[in-house]
Amino acid sequence: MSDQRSTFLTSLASRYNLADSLNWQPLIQHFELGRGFAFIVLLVPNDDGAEVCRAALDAYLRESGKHVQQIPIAVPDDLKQLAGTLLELQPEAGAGAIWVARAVPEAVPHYQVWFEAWREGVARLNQFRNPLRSQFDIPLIFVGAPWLQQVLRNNAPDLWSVQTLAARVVAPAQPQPAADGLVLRKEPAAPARGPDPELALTEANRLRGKDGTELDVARLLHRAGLGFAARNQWHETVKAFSEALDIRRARAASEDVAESGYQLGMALAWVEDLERAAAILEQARAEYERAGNRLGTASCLQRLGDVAFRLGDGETARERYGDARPLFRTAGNLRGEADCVSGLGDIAVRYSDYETARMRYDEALQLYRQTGDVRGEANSLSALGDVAFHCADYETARARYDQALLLYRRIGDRRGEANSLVRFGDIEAIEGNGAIARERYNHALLLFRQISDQYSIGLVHQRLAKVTQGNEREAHVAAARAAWASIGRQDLIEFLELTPQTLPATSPK
Amino acid sequence: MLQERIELAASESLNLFLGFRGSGKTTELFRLRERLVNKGYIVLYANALNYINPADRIEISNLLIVLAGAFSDALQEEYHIDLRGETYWTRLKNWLAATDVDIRELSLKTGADIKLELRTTPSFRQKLSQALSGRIGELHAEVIGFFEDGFKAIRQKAGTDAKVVFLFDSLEQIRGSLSNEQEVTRSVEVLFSNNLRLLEIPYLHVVYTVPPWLKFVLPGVRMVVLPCVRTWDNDKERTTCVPGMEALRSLTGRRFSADGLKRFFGAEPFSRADRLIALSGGHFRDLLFLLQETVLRANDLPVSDEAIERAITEVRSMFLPISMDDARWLAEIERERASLLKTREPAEISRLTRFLDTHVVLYLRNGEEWYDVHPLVRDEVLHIVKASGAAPAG
Repeated sequence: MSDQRSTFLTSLASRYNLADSLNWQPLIQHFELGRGFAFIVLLVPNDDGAEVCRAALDAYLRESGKHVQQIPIAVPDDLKQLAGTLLELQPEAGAGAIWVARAVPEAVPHYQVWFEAWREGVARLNQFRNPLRSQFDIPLIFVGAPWLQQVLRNNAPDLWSVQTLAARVVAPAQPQPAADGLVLRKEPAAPARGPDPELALTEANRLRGKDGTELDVARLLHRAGLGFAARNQWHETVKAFSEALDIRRARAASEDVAESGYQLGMALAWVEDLERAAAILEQARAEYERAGNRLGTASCLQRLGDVAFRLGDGETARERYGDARPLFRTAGNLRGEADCVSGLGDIAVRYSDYETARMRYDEALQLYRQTGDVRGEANSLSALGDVAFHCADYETARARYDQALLLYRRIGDRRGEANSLVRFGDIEAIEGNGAIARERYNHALLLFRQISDQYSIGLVHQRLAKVTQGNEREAHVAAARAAWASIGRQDLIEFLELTPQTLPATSPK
Repeated sequence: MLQERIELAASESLNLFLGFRGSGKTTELFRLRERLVNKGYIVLYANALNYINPADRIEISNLLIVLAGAFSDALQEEYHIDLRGETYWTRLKNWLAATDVDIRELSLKTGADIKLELRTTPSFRQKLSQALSGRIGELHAEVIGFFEDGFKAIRQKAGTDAKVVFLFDSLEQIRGSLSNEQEVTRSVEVLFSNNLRLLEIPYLHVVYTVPPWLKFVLPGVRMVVLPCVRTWDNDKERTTCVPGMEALRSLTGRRFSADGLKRFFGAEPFSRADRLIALSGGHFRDLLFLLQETVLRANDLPVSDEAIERAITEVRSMFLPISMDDARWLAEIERERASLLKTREPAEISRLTRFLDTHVVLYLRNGEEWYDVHPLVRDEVLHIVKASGAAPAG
């Protein structure tokens, strides 16, 4: 085993902290009290988790001069032929347990192959329950992903009926870092091609001052705002929508006022002026309601949920999403409903309730798929990857990010693509592969530069600083500072400067 | 009215123009074009039927594509403007290739294929709209981008103050066939009720000719309706409306020439031609039918009263027979001078539209809009109701 791998597993073992795990203790207790054959099923997120458990059990057994005897499972056929292998096996001298492990998460591409292998292997083994019991006087431990339990129950009922213990071992979820201002942005990207803002401004200026053209000027300013937003020029976006809204407030119909308010609210959220964003969105919601526009009302409520969430007010966010969801449903807007469900997933992540988060993102994923919203689908897969990442299930995380990346590339969403690359980089960094992490971050940096997303550029430099040293590291810190300064994010710069030596441990949202 | 709306709008406008069949929409559209061109507007014209199959349902994605494609063609043909050497059709093909829309499945070779396939191949239209159903926002952004580029190119060529009008004619012809009429009608209704804003084109004054029944299903939407020429007033006696009669006399005079009119109808031509004009209901096409039938039945000049009566009978027969149920309903319209639409149920709208399309019911306006039964069948309707002893439908 390479040093890198060994370091990673050590660090992972500390995440699992098996000594204090309530799920791990019954297994150890069994070894302390039990004698002779036992059939134990251990459910872990992936092979890394299995390896952490094997190492821990081996270390425990070695205290009494025993060890874990592994049955190598290198290819699916090894599992299919498991009955023959086990029936011919003579345990080694000093073996304290027979270990059969292959934990393949559902998310990874070759999952189906391994599922079939387990299914076939245990189905064949089922009839040999009694010979197995008489053959071994030490525990036989099957280690697999959580779905192994169902496979055993359905395909090897006799074997399953004699199981002594089935334990689910997971790494405790890692809470959100305190400084979670530094998270990847996952708002749906503005259309790749918005209106030409300069043309709209030119036309608006041509009409300014002419009587009776105020609403036309407002419409052109609104259009300019959409164009600036599509080009990530957020301060210009805010300015254009603000002026459009001022004019419309005095003269236009509720729906037009609401539309400019809604867009301004979203733009303000982009520039982190969250309190003002909430106030403007609340006004837009009231205008939409006055106009009887249910979809507009729902959209504002959903955005109000997003803003409340970013303000750290999970309860309000939950309420807003809860109010918006039925409105979207009544209006037949599955995509809006999916956005709300996804928002509820974000809240669950914030409270480190990863199981709820996973269920919400799964639900959102299905809704996005129903509507054919590829970006929503990619965002959900990415969020599912984040949940797995928090639970130290890096294999699942990598697989989910991979699925998301493919979709982002398909629809040409460079922000999504870059975010995926950052997330890959994060996994590589955690696994100790600094060089690969740098490669991923640099690739992401190129993409963020193409869309002039200074926030994310700063964020990638900050991450690059974590995997580099000396002058290179200083250069990345300076670059992060410059990027954030260009968008007036003094708060982030201060955060960076407060911790010059140990940059914040950030992780994807 | 359309011209006024365009001239009053500061930078752009969306105009829905409708008239019942045979009311002279296309003629009016061409007159509008001439007037606007004379006032310095750049006017582009496209006929939807060159791009759309009127017997098939229409989706917003396909219409957006067709609009940009038709604009692109008009730019090339009428103003020789070629945007970066690329038509919209080529640009669309490149955009589709850059997205996840599987153009291999759409079996396209060139951008021009898309234009052809859109018009001729139902399965292609269906595949394309399915493929784009989740990306209407992106498609709209692309289409608007193309219009913006076109607008900038026109301004470059025609000056920075150039105002551009795009006339998109014949969209009202989408009506399906016997087997799918309801489905197609519904698709048009959904198109205009849910996606009207997507049909606004930045910096352009756009005029769409739309099906007349849209007026009944989208009551809040502003539309310009082309009424019949009013030859009587909305009073109990149906007092003759002189300006309307004069307009139709003028039309009749232009058809025959002053000399021809006298030769055909006699020294006081309108003492006899007025009967035909009044019976036309102010409907150009019906007046032309009546005149044509009279000419065909004239054995001597001036034409005999008998020939005129035979012509009237012949044209009237085109409206008959009228069922008892329809007669009761028409009698009520005749009495109330209103549409009698109580709901927006498709069946009710369909019946009114059918009668408006066949001119049995006429849409008229003087200040306010009102309806009446065509003078050619008015007596027949009352006769059927009286003979049946039934009261008019209420």
